[in-house]
Amino acid sequence: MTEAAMATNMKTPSADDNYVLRVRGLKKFFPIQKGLLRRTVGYVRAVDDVSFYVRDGETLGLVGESGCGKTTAGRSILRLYEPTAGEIMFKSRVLSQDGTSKTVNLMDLKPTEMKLVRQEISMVFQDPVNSLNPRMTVGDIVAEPMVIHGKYGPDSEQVIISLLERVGLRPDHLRRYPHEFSGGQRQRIGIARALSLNPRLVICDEPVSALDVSIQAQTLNLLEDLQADLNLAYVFVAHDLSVVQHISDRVAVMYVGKVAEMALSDELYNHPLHPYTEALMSSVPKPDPKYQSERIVMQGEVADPSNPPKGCYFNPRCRYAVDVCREKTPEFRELRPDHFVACHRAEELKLRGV
Amino acid sequence: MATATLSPADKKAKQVSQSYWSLVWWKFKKNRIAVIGGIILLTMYVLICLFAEFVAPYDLERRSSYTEAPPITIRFIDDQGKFSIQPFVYQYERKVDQAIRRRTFVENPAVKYPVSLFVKGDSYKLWGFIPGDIHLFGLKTDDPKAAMFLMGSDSAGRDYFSRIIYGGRLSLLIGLIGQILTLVLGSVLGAISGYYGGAVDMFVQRFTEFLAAFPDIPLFMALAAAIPQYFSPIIVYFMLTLILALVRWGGLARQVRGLILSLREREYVLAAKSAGASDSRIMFRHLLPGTMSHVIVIATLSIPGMILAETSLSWLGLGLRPPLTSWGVLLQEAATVYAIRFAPWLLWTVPFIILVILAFNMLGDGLRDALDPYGGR
Amino acid sequence: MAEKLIEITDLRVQFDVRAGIVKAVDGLDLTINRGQTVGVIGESGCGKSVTARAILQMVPKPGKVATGSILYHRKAKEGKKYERDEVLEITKLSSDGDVIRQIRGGEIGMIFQEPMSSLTPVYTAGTHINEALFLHRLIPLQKVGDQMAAEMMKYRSMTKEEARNEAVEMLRRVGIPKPVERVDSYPHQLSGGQRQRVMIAIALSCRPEMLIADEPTTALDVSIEAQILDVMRDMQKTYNMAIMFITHNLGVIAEMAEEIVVMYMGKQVERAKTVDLFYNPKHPYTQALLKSIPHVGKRTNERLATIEGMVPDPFHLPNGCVFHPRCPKFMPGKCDKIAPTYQSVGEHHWASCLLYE
Repeated sequence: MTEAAMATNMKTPSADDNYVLRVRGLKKFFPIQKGLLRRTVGYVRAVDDVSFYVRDGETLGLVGESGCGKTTAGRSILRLYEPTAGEIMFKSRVLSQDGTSKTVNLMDLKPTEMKLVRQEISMVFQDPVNSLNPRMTVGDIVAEPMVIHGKYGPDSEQVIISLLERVGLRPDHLRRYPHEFSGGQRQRIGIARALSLNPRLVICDEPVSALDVSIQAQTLNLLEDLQADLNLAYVFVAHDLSVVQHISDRVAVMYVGKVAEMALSDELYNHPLHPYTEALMSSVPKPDPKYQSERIVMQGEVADPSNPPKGCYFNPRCRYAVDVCREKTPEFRELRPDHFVACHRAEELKLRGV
Repeated sequence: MATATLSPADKKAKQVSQSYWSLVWWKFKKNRIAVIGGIILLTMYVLICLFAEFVAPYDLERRSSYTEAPPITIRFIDDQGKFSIQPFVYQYERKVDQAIRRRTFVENPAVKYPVSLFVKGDSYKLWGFIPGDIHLFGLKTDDPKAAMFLMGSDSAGRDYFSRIIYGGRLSLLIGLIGQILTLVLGSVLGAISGYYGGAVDMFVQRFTEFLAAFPDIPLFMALAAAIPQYFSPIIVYFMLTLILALVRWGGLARQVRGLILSLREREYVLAAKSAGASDSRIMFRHLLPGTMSHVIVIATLSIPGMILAETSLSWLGLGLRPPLTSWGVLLQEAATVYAIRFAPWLLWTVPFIILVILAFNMLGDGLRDALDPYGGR
Repeated sequence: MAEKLIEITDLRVQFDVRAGIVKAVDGLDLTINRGQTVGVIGESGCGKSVTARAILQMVPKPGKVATGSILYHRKAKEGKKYERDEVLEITKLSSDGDVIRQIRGGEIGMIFQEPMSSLTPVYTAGTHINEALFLHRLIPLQKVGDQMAAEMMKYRSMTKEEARNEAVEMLRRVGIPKPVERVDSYPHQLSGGQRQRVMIAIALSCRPEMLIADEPTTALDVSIEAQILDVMRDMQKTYNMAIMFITHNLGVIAEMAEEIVVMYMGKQVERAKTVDLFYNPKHPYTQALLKSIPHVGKRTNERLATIEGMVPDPFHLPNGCVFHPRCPKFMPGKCDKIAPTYQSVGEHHWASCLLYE
């Protein structure tokens, strides 16, 4: 692609070629089945036309309330859930013969190729208790990806030890079992496992939500250090806006299966364009007793993804909603450079950040 | 690396690090009843299944002229009140009870035979290839008229105690092997059913329901009756084991399926999947080990059912048949009014069966508590 | 002068386990006044939940209250079983006796973190509320033990019908839409936020003197969290109840609490009014804790300040000050030798640190 072509295409969330992962129109509908014959009576639109991209070595925060599809989106990238539709472009090194990157659509890969790509994309999970098999030793857990890909050799134990040390654990932890560790340590084990095959992209699914405050800070710092050292790209799925702001270069806010807004972190937090982003940020309790905010309390509950409202999914809770919001689904567009929003009134509204 | 600096850390790690199974063991040990049950079973399985030839004082087929002799008493004090440190038995003497016109045997104090440990007796081949003729205990004499029937003898003059030991081997093994087959069948099918879901799950579930809808015993009977008469006893034995397993795997499969359904939502399964693990790896490395504790408890608690099933079938004449000797076969022989009236010692099999079943239940209950070492601490 | 409700003096709770003794709570002093919100913050395992359970005499086995006292100033109130003011020593009460069972839920309500697991899924939301009412506001239910039934008949103040209406009313008050329909729904039909509202409704339906809220919003989304916090504040105003708010979320505590106790490894390290604690923290642990959280809207490209190391093994607590191995202001020869005492470091401000001794 020529530079000129790149420049003109910068306006859509997809054309920038400087990405490691680019998701376009991703959909994941879970069928709702009822009755003896398991007839499909409807669909939960967990991920409903989501587009975003992650550049090499950067962190994209995927933030939203529970049920907004952020976790499903993260897992669909790795095809842990088979996406219903969409395109997942990934720059793979293992699939190219000459050591350079080859852009592949993960949706089109054969199972054998997909397995190879799994070396390059790994995951860190939320629950430090459930994400480690209690019957396996730490060494076995961290080694597992190597074993799966036939890369466990005589030197591997040394590699694992250095990985453990890298994430702040001791070599003698190798033969212990997960239940002997605290939550923060378990999360480090999970991180070590994710790094064992030198991935390019790590999907972190709420990696610090279950951790204590001081441990959370350590873990975030560790993730940042690893990113800097290993040039990792992160998709950081979380619900904690302050954590996401801290770690992310860019943030995508999701609401009921759709991306409401995506922008550079500071831009998003200071100049939100979507009323949901504004309300969400005002709801975050500020660790400052003198902070006087007028909180925008969103009325009601998050829309039901199996029966979303007509028009903009946020319209029943939106205090700026007008007729068009109840009728037409807003388009996800780039309003300012690198700032995408799906709101009919984004141009006219003056929203406040934090 | 300097071993001197590492070793204390290693040692500490060893002290602190406890695998799941070591925690289980620790908790199991604290349950005295379960330990007793375990010891009883271990002893019985070792002595009966592994060393029946050595433990039994006589060969299974060794017949004597003492038919339906009552149990003999091992004595330390003779009729003159003389004590001897070496235990002994009296000789059997034939006597005819005129009142009922029946031949019986009584002890004759005139002839004493010393009882001793590790005596030479009938020769045997342990496990089919180690020749031997030493028995755990027996009479130290060459007199062909000497006999020591601890639990009496049967109508062919065979030592009943020896027969119980040999019969126990088949009965205990049929329980164990049958249960292992059940376990393998049940776990694998249950795991497949739970993991894949869909049509496979549907099929397996309907099939187990189909099996469960049949009452056990009539089903056993029908299947056992279908074994051709001309099959060699040993094949009959294995077929019977297989039948028991085939009928009983359903319940276990359902339980495993339920566990798998909950385990497969764990994040560690997703983690393995995201790393590219194959279905079989996920199943055998991540899912089934998690169900093992549960499965072991179920298995332990249902071995008695297996043993009883064999016993009942054989008792009905549909299971093992002579010349094979199992507890069921022995019971069948004892199941006559005549035997109960004149040779009640033939019921000695019953306490053995009860003991084994009790021990299994004791062990199973203890295991159930112990296998959940994280809970209830 | 504020009226005292709960007075905890030198509370020590120990867990006797195979590997040794864990001092889950080690010398806690705390006073909670009527209508006041006291926040307890600390990391997991610091003893904050155990403290809450000790107040209800519900320390799980093998834990036990070793020493210390928890005085509960009970005040006669209409519709409750007791008739006169008294001071109860909670640690001396039998853990399944009548008195403590009236206090639990009836006078001191409790809400927990995980809304789904604390509601039994087979009961409808209405049953849950009624259950709490029956147990603590003494309404007879047919299949309750005879003794209890007799007791209840004596104090009969409500019928089943009334309890149900009250359930509907409570659901409305905590902001559940269509409460008349919702009262018959099962917990799994409710969203997480609604379930937590039901829990609050259950806890409040008995008009408790105090509500112990153990991480009540941790599992919820921020928009729902904001709603729940609003509900709790409203209810507190309406019923003038005290709240013991246990959390690790500094943002939530800053909004809710008037006074905060910081705990670390079973010890209270600092106690102060909320503003003082956030703007003038004295203890290095508090200081580090405040620095280690990212603030929304205040993005810096710097790394977060962390508290080095890990929470120590509760079986092998360090000598001296338990925080010294992780403390940035560690004074060698002092902090690792002498255990600090808990003392006043300002007006209504206490800390246990050798820097102030």
